[in-house]
Amino acid sequence: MKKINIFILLSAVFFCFFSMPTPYGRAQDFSFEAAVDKNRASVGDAIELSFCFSGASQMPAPETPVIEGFQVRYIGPATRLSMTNGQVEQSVTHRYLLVPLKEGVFQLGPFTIVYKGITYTSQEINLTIAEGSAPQGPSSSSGDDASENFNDNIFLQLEAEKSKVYLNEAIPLTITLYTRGIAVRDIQYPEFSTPGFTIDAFEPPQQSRQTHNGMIYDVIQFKTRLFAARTGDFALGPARVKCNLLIRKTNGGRSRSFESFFDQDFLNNFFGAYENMPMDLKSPAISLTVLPFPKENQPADFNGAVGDFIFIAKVSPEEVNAGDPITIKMAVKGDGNFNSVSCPVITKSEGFKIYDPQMKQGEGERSFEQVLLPYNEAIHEIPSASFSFFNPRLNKYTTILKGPFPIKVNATGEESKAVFTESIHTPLKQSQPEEILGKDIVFIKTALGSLRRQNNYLYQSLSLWFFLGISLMVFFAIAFWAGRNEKLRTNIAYARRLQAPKKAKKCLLEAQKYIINRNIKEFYDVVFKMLREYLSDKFQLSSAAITCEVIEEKFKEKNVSPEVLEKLRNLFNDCDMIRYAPTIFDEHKMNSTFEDLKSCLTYFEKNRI
Amino acid sequence: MMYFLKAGFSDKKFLISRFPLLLKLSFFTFLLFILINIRVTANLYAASILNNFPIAESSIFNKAGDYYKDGKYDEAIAEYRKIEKTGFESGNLYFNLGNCYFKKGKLGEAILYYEKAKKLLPRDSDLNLNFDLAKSRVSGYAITLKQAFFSKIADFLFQELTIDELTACMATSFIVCLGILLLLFFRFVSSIYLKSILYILVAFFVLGCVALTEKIGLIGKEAIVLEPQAYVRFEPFKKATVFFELPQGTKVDILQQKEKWVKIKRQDGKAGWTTQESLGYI
Repeated sequence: MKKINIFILLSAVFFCFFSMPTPYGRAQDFSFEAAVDKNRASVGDAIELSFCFSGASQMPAPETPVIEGFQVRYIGPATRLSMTNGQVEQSVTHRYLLVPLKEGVFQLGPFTIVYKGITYTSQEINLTIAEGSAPQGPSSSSGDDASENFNDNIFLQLEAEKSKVYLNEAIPLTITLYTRGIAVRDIQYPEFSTPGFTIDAFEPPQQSRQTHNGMIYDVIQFKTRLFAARTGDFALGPARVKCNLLIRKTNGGRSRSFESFFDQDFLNNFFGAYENMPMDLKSPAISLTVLPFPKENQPADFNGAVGDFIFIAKVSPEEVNAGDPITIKMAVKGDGNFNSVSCPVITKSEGFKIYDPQMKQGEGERSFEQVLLPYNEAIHEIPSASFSFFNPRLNKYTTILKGPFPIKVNATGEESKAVFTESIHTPLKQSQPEEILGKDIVFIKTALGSLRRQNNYLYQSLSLWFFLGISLMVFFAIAFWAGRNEKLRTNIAYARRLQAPKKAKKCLLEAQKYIINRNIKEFYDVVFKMLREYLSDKFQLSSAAITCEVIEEKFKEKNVSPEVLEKLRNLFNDCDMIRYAPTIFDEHKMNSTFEDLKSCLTYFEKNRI
Repeated sequence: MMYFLKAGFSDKKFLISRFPLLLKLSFFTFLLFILINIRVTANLYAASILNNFPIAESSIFNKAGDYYKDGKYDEAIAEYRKIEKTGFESGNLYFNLGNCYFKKGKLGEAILYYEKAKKLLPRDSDLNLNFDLAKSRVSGYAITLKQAFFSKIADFLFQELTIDELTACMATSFIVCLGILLLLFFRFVSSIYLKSILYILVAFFVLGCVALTEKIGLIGKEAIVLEPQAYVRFEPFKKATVFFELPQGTKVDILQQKEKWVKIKRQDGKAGWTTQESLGYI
C-alpha cells in the first residue's frame, strides 16, 4: 500500500511537471519549413515533401498542394516533443508523397500558411526529374522528340466519330487511356455525362498499343454510343477515369517499411518495393454540333427516328370472324437510335377498332404488335403500315410502306355486338373530373357535456367493490343454502339426523309443561316418545326397534361415557316403571328425570353422537 | 342453544327466522345505493358550479367558444384551460381544445387533446374525423405495435368504450353471471340455454377484464410529442448520442422518469430518453 502511494505521488509530480509551462525556459517561437527527402528522382519515383511546424503542438494539415507534373497525396502527421536544457521543443510535421509524372526541372513552392493571423512562407525547393523506368512498362521509345501536347506519360482522350450530328443520331464515342513507362492497374470504367445527351453502357474495354506522336503507348479503349436530345453546339466531357499507379516506394521511415508488411501488395512489392497510388485522370472536352432535322421532304408520319433501318410487317390470322382480333406484327431492324423509333402508323382505320401496340426491344431491332378488330365481313384487307425515318448517312428521309394485307372476315350468325364508334383518330372521351373535396376539422362543441373529476374512475370506487363483494357473498350464501336444501331432499339419513334435535326440543318444551301441571303420566309418555324418536333418527332405526339394550350397544361403539349410559338406562327404566308403580313418581322425580334427559341430549349434541 | 340453529335450514320459515341477518344486509345495500347516488349528485354539482363563476355574461365555456368563432384561438385556449385547471374534465372540453390547437397549427398539442377526448368520447364521429385529419398531417403516428392474440381481440371489442363504461359492463356481466349460476342451481329454466349464455358471458367478462386492465395500465403512461422534432437519446443527458428522432404528434409509451428526463418507448419497441418538456401526457 505504501509502495502504491509513492507510485501515485511520483506519477502526479511527473504529469504536473510536463503539463505545466516550464518556469525555467522561454516558450519556443513558431516557424514553418518545407523540405523534400531528395532533389533528384525519376518519373514514377516517389518523393516525400514535409511541412514542418515548430513551436506548435497541434497544427491541422494544410490543404494538399497542387503541383503541376506531380501527383500529390497526403501521408499523415508526425509530432515531436523534446526537452533540452530545460526548454521544451514541440513540432508537428505533415508529410506528402509526390509522384513525378514527367521529366524536367521543377520548382516547388514557396508555400505559405497562416498561423494565429500571421503568414509564414517556406523556401523554394528545386527538383530534377529524369525519365523513369517502371517494372512493367515498355522500354523507352526511340522517338525522343515529343510533341508539346503529349509530354505526359499518362493521359486520357475523348473522341467522337463526328463533330456534326443530327438530333437523335447515335454518335460513337471512344474514351482512350494512354500510358507510357508507367504501370497502371485497377482501371475503372469512365465517368461521363453531358446534359442534353443520353449515353449507352460502355462496351468491354480493348487493350492495344498505338503510336502517338512517334511514341509507343499502351492503350485501353472504352467505346459507347451517345444520343443528342436537343440541337445546338455543345462541349462534350470531360471524361474521367480512376485508376491506381504502381510507384516505387521511397526509403524513408522505419514506420513505413514496417507498415509495408500489411500492405495489400506486400508480395508484389517484396522484391521491387512498389505501392499503389490512386489517380483521377481527366480528358479534355470536345465540341459537338447537333443539327435539327431538315424541314424539306419531311414525311407527315415522321416521329424522329434516326438511323439506317428496314421495316418488316406481317398479319395473322388472315381469316377471322367479324369482331375477332387480328394481330399485325411489325419490326424495325438496322442500325441507329432505337429509342427514337416509335410504332409504325397504320394508314387507314375505317372499319377497324385498333388497340394500342405492344413494344419489345431486342438486339438491333424493335418490334411492335398491334391488335385490330374488323367490324364486319365487308372488310377485305388490313391497310398498309408506314414507317418513316431519317438516314444521317444519306442525309435524307426514307418512308417504307408495308401492305395492304388481304384478309377474309366471315360473318357471324348473331347480330354484330360490336359497338365500335371510336377510331384512333377520334379523341377519347374525357372522364368526369374527380370532385375535389375540401379538408378541414369539424366545428367545436357548443355544450360542455358531462363533466367528471380528472383521474377519477369508477374502478377506483370502493362502493363498487363493496357492492360486488356483497353480491358475491349473497351468491355464496344462496348457493350454500340451495346445496343444503338439495342434500336434505336427497339424503334422508342426513335429514333425520338434522331434524332430531328440533323434535327433541319440542318434546322438552312439552315435558316442561307437564311438569308444571304435574301430569306425571303424560310427562313420562312424552319423555319415552322423545327418547325413541330422537335415538331412532340418530341411528337410522325404526322407533319400535329402540330398546335400552340396542341403544347401549350403539353407544358402546361410540365410546359414550358410562355416566351418560347410566342416566339413559335410568330414563328408560323410569318410563317403564311409571306403568307399574306410578305412585313413587312425584314432582321431584319428574324434575330429576327432566334434568337427566336434558344432560343426555346436551351430551349427544355436543359430542355429535 | 346454539347447536339447535342447524334446524333452521330445512324449514320453510327460514327467512322469517333469520330476519335479523337479512335486515342487516338490506341496510348495507341501501347504504351502498345512497353512496352511488351521492357520487352522481356530486358530478351534477360540479357541472353546475361552473355556471357560478364570477363572469356575468356567459359561462367560461361559451366565452371560449365565442373567441374560437372570432379566430382568437389563444384566448379560447386560455379560457378552456381555466376549466381544465378546476380539476374537472369533459370530452367536449378536450375536443374544443384540440380544435384550437389545430387551427393554430400546433398539431402535437391538437393530437394530445384529441387523444384525451377520445378516452371520454370514443364513439364521437366528429372527434374521429378531426383526429384522423390531424394524424394524417403528421408522420410516424401510427406505427402498429405487435399485440398478443387476446389483447388484439379485447382491444377490437372494447376500444369504443371508456374505462368507466367498461367497468360498468364488467360489473353488470359479473352480477348476471352470478344470477345465471343461481338459476342453474334452482333449475328454473332449461339448463342448456343457460349454460350457453353463461359461457358467452364468462368469455365476454374475461376479455373485458383484459381490455380494462390494459386501459387502466395505460393511464398516465402515454404521451404525445409536442415539439416539431424530439431527440431520443441513449442516456438521460444532453450530450448523449441521439438514438432516433420523433416527429411532432407521435404517440409514445412512458417507461421511466428521472428528473426532467423521461424514458419512452416508440410504438415499434425502440426506447430511449427524451426531455419531459417535449412531451404532453395523455
